[in-house]
Amino acid sequence: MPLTAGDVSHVYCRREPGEAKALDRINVSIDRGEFVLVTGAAGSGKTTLLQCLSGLMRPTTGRVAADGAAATSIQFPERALFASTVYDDVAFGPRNMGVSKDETDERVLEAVEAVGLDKGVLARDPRALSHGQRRLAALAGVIAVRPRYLLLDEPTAGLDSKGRSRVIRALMELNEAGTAMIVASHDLGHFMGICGRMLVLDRGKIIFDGPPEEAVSCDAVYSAGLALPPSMLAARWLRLRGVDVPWDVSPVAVAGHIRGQGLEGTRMD
Amino acid sequence: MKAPAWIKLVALGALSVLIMALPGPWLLPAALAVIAFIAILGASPVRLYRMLLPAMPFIVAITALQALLQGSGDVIASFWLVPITRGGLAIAAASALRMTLLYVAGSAVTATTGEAEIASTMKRAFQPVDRLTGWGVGRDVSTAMALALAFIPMVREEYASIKLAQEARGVSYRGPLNAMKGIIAVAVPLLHSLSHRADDIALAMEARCYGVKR
Amino acid sequence: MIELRGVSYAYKGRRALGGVSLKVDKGEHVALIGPNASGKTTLAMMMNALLIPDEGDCIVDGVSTKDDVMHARKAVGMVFQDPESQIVSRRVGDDVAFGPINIGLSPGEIEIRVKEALAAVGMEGFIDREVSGLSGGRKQLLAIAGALAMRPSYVVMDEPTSLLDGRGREAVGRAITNLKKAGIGITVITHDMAEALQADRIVALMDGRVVSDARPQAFFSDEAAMARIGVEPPYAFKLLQATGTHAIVDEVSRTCR
Repeated sequence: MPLTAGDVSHVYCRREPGEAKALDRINVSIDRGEFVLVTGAAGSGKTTLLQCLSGLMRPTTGRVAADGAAATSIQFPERALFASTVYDDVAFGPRNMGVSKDETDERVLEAVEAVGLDKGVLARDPRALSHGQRRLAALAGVIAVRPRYLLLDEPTAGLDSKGRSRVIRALMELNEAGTAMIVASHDLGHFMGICGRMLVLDRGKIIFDGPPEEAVSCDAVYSAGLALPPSMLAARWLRLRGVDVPWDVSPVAVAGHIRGQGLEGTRMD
Repeated sequence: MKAPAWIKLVALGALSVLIMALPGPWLLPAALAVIAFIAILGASPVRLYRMLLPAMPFIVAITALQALLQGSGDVIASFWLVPITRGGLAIAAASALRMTLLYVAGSAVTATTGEAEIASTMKRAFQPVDRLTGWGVGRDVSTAMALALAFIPMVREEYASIKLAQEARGVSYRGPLNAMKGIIAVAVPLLHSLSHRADDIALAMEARCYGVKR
Repeated sequence: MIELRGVSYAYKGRRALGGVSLKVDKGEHVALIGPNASGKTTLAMMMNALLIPDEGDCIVDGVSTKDDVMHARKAVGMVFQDPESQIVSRRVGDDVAFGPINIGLSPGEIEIRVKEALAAVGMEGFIDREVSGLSGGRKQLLAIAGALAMRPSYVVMDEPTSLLDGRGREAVGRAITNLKKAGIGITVITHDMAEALQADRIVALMDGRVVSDARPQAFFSDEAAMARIGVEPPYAFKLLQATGTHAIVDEVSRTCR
């Protein structure tokens, strides 16, 4: 049985009256080895969903079950770096799990390599590293736990393009090696291209669950407050005029379709 | 009892002076005064106990140090080479009681008074000082208070996030050694993050002309 | 006009900026781009005198920041990347009033400015609200209002939307457009080329030097410059080049519905 959430709802205790549900009757099942993108506007429940799925937070109602370990990385995980060396920080997880010294060593090296960091950083103080390196070190710390399901909350937020591609490459390689990836992100442009499945949340409910290719034709996705990739907006524009193209349609292809269909000169209202 | 904030703060101030200034034997009546204070304010003892818990390690640590480093009189026991004297124990015990009473009395006020009310009361209290001396101390104090209040939700969130991140990596608090490691794993990065935020916020304040000499 | 003349700056022995010259006029929208550690933030902080150049000068409306720091701080408002790290108070109205209080305005004048600033970002009704209940986008609008309460002639923003979601980005984008209409000179540091496309000029920094200062059309057509900095033209630009019509490009330029 994979990672499942059955009828999960969650409400945060707040003093304000009429507080909306953070999660509203979520039913989802994620298989081993999947790469799932979870997205939605701020406050749509992405973070709450991740925390419930990973077992870190018990939902107000409903059940979450998993057939393997799930580990989570919070937003800006480098905030939680605390040890005096990168090695000790990455080793924190395995050590807490009671793993032998030799295996801890093996896991640390493996994790650091998986994120593309040089072994030389192991002896350094995490605070002396660059921002991108700190992010990778924090991710290595979660990877060293060797979870079956890895949940990441905005793993590429605040990184420049170089940092972003390093993180994405690491995640793809881990996924290929068998770890299920559940990534909550605003960065649709990059993640839609590599995920096999996309979950769109809007005010605590799942309004879309399927391969990214199908999201173009789902109207609800366009009013969910997402920063959609421009190619997807172009695809929708064409679709509304009877031309079906994939969400990652290239500008040249768009031009071709406009000319081909004689849509030139039509104005958007 | 619904009393205006300034009365509670003045009473707290008076109580604090008594707690700190009175010699040992007077601490018992002082403790009774604090209990009466709590009862009058209507603060819940359970809530106060929960507020006191996080402060306990600090009170215990400070008290232990005092027991080891102060005092005179008969030596009762030895901790390695450091003697613990009867006098030292007495000082430490009194100290622990003072700190606890102070903390609990203060907590009773914050538990029963709106934060905004406290902040605006303090601001009004300092205005005459500023007008008379032109020091701007009042402005700094009320800014510091407003900042502290504005940051409470943020600190709470940050603490919760970091705690979650370490829990995700299997941190356990069972056993004193693990508990200590667990606390370090949360406290150290939290303090770092907060000091970074403090730098950022100081910059943002400067950008909005804070600290202008008028 | 904000004018930087041959500005250099070093942090703890490391050169952050070397001989940078740049002008930003009132009503202009300049996008400042470049890889991390290229000196963008350092440059931005010089514009409102948070930093003083080691060499060269930063001159705001004829006054050098070396001579008068407060003049620059009042004339140039600053908005930072993290909405959380700019809040000084629990109540919206008090937060916006922070700047005016600092410069010693009368309570009546402060009230006028707070209302004005909140209206400029579309948050008139929020004056008594709690800041902690606001979304990230609104918090950033609050930061902008806080800067506007000083009635600046220029506003500098350091990656104002990078930590926001689609709605937040759109809201801040609208606020920037309104500032432009009001004739305020805007400098925005961004990593988002789609945002840079909205500017009147794009200034690209690399290793503390200006490597390009051109209109977006020219910059995104300059493959060599883009390769040096490591950026690609935004989709909307490529679309414009490929289709030649603005219809679909307008649609695509919006960040979300």
